[in-house]
Amino acid sequence: MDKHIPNDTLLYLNNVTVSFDGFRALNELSFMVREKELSAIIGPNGAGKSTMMDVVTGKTRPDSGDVFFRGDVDLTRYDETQVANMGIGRKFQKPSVIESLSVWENLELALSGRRSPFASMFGKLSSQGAARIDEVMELIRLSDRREWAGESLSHGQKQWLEIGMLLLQEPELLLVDEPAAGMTDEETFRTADLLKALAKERSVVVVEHDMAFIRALECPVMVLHEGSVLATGSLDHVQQNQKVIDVYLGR
Amino acid sequence: MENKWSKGWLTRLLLEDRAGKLLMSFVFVVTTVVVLLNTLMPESSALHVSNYTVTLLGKYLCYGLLALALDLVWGYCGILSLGHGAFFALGGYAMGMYLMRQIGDRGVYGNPELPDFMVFLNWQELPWYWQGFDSFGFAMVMMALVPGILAFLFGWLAFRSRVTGVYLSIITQALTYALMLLFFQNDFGFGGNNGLTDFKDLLGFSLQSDGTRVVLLISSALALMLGYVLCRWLVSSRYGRVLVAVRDAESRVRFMGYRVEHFKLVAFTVSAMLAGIAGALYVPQVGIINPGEFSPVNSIELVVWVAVGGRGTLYGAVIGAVVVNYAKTWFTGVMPDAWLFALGALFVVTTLWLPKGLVGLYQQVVDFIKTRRQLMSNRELVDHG
Amino acid sequence: MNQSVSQLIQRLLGSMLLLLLLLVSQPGFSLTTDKLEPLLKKSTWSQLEQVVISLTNEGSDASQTVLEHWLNGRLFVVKKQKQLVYAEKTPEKKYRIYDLLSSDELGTVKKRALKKVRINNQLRSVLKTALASWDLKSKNPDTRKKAIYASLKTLDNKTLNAFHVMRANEKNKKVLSALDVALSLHTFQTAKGAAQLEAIHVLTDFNHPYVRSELAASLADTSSTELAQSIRVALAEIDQRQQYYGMAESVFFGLSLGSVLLLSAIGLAITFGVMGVINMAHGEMMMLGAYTTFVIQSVFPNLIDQSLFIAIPMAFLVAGAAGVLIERLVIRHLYGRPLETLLATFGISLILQQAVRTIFSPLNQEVATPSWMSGSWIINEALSLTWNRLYIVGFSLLIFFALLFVMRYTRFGLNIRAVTQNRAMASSMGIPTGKMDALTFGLGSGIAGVAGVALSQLTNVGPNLGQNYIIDSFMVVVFGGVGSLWGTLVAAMGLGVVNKFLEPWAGAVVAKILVLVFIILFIQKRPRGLFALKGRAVEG
Repeated sequence: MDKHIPNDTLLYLNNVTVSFDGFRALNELSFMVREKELSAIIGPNGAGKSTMMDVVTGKTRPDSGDVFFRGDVDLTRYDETQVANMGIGRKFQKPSVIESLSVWENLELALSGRRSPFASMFGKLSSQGAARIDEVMELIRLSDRREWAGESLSHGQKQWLEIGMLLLQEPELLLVDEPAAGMTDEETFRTADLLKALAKERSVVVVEHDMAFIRALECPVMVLHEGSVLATGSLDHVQQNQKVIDVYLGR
Repeated sequence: MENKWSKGWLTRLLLEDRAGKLLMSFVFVVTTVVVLLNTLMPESSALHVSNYTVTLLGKYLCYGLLALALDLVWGYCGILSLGHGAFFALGGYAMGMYLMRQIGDRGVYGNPELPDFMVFLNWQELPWYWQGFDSFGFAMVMMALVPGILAFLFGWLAFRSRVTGVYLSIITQALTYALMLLFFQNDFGFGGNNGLTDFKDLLGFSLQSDGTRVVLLISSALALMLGYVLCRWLVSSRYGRVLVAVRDAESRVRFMGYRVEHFKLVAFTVSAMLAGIAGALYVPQVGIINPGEFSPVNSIELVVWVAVGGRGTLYGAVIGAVVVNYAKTWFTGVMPDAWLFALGALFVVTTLWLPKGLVGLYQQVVDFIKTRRQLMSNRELVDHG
Repeated sequence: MNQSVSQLIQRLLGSMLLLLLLLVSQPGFSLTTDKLEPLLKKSTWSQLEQVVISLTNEGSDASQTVLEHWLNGRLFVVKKQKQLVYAEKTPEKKYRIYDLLSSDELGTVKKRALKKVRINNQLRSVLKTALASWDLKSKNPDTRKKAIYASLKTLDNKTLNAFHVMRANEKNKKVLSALDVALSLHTFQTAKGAAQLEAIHVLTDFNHPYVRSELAASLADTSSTELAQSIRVALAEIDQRQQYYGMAESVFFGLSLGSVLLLSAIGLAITFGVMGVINMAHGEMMMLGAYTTFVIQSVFPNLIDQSLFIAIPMAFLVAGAAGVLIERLVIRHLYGRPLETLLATFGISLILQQAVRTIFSPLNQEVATPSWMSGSWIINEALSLTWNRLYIVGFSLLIFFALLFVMRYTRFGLNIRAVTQNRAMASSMGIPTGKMDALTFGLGSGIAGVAGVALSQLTNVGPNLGQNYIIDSFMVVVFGGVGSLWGTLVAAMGLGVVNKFLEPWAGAVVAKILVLVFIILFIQKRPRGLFALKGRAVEG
């Protein structure tokens, strides 16, 4: 790795390229995420945001380029399960909670711990674990819904439940895909506050369309376009950038 | 609030699943009554239950166990196996091999070592894969182990490469089809077309005797109840909740850090072993096992039992197996030509209008009556008020 | 086809002409030309032989018929009328007599009324030679060729002389090469030295099995090393060529099996591949097509040769309509629930099978093969391909390319693709998506019906016809890559050829099992088949 990389770099992407049938979803993308940092990625549809997440979480293998975690762990050699267990959590664009399990059961599944089939057959929930679940349930404001099935929650509640599940996985890096989609204004701002609070203990990368939400996050922003970085900086800064304006408004 | 999950598994088993407990008690009671009426009542008595009924009930219970096995993978894990009949048949063949060896020199050709069909094919000695089946213990292990190993190998390949949904269904169907073709081959060493039959006795007891039939019925009932408890224990643990999560959102579970393929593999293997045991209990009761049991149609028919009963409930699968097979027995007696029409219609009706099967229908009816009552009493209140 | 028609015309013309002559010469139906006169009387053996020779020289088909019946002991004289007839024994030990020329039945008579035309061994061999020379003189080159090959085992000087004469005038290449085989074979058997070696050299180029066996047999007898060596070289060359033809034949059988697979999978490539509907009743759509053929042939028993041309559009309509009905009544409610669709359509397949059992019979039905589809295309002595398989290979490709054309270049195909790729967008552009679904499903089912017409020419038409193909056809589509028509073509032909190459050493059933196992393992490796669509679109 290069010398000029700071010591507190958690995630490091260098010249990552992914193509599908000749179409380059990621084009020599390079960026890094530092420890306990909140950052946002914006970009028009098809800019490669989801593909970037797929690459980091082990779902898609890049055609070329490096992806390192905690300095020396080569993420391209692991699959989703292994990456998740290393401490990278991912929230999907579409809220994906387990519809037929209750809020409590959803959270209990996510609670960090041994993941093998046999451990899950014979294991017993510890009292610390139960306490931790209650704590997170409080945080995501679903304590009064603990027995509700996932499918009966509102859209916003599902988003929150999913964030709660991610928290219980105790990740070092949290990738959050469009958390504010379909939320009311009030929910949106509460989500922003929650993410800011989370970033105090771990790194959080938010992919988002909603500019008001990004503004509320008060964090550095990276603009993705056609699979590579177009601009970085504060939201105000990138909004001034002529190239960004062209991509978003022009054509 | 007291947390129900912090209790031990036995408590969990006993406290929950009222319907399941009810069904298992029902199985227990019916089996006991049938056994008592069959053995204690003289044949002339109106209360006497015939041997035919004993065997029929035993068959139904085996089907129930098979349906239970399928529900574990389909209802809870979303794996629609169209090849579960293969595991059932393999268990059946393992039992059949033991029973063939038990015939000894009482066969048509009187060869103490070789089953008749091998003598007929001019084989000189027992093939290696027939060795050991003269021991009941060994055969019993094989009844579960052979289907289990096949399911493990197949599942290991399929789940690791993430073959899911209909693709998986289609290749499981191809699996049972390939096995059927293989077992039809005479030189494969399992009796070809005719399969294994003309069994004489099991552990020294004649299969024709009333006592053996009764014991087989009791064994089937016990196997079903134990199988039920095992499945219930699995699905009520965290393991079972992971299965449900895999069914509902497989990729989410991967991103939670679970090795989805291992979870599926365990469920698939356990399920195949249960199916094998069901097949092994089935064969001595019907007296024959042939390659027809591998036919893809059998496996699909099994799916409809589970669908009719109500998948993802375990007890629903057992109810479905018994109800559909009872209907089949009735139809083939009264109007055999209409059976396939009825079965076909059952497939269509269940998928279109009864997604949760009979169990779900019952729930709907109960809910409907409850709301009706609620409405009525409300109206009365209004009327009086 | 041409051959039989021209023979028919010849025979018709010949008999008409003779009939005319008869009508002029003598009323009634008896054949009493001067030449046949000795047969009616007590004649000497040499007189009878003269009759054979004069009939042979005349060379008409009618004379040939007379000679054939004579040789087979069926030529009789009706004592009373002094009339020549041929006769067959009835089970009641009487004789049914027929007119020599028209083959009209003239009634049944007792044995006493007839007198058999005499025959002895010498006359028998004269008759045989005469009849063989008939074929040699036939206007049909194939008949001439066959007659030459038939004489290979009994070459004598007389025939060889005849062959030499024949060779000088013969123009047809096939007949010429047959003559070469006969002459060279004789040289090989009788000559010595350079002539014999030269004969071996000529024989090397021919595929007739008798040539090879003669060469191989003489290898054991020969003492000359030079001769043995050249025979070995010749045998090696012949064997290599045979192997090559064997290979070509395997490829053809493979393509033939592949075309059956293609036919059974092609409709599925639309319903499953394009629409994503798991239609387990697909096989029954083929069954409907096959039964349509059966019904058409029953309704128009005189139009067997044309029946397939009527059956193809009818089968398309019948199966297509059934498909539209199934889609509207059942599948429509199950989009997005593939496993439920699988079960519901399986139920439909059971109902359709049972319906056919009830309406027709549980047994297989007889579907006739049109005359133009029977027989084979003989390329040479080692390689011949049956017409029905050739036609079906061609037909399957025709359907494939027609479908490809519809999907790629027509408005209808464009709409189908639009609806399946982006339903919401297609709908907002004014494409009636519901109607398109029904029509697409109808198209896939209709094609399955047409495939059923072709299958009715190859397999039993019965209620289980569909079931026998359903697993294979799903395997082909999955193996080829869902959504890829070319993939279906390659998969069908590839699996067909592989299967046929495995068969010689594994046996038919084991070959099939191996192919199934191969596909099961292949899907593990490439879950989306040979020609998988990549990218984000398929992830959802």
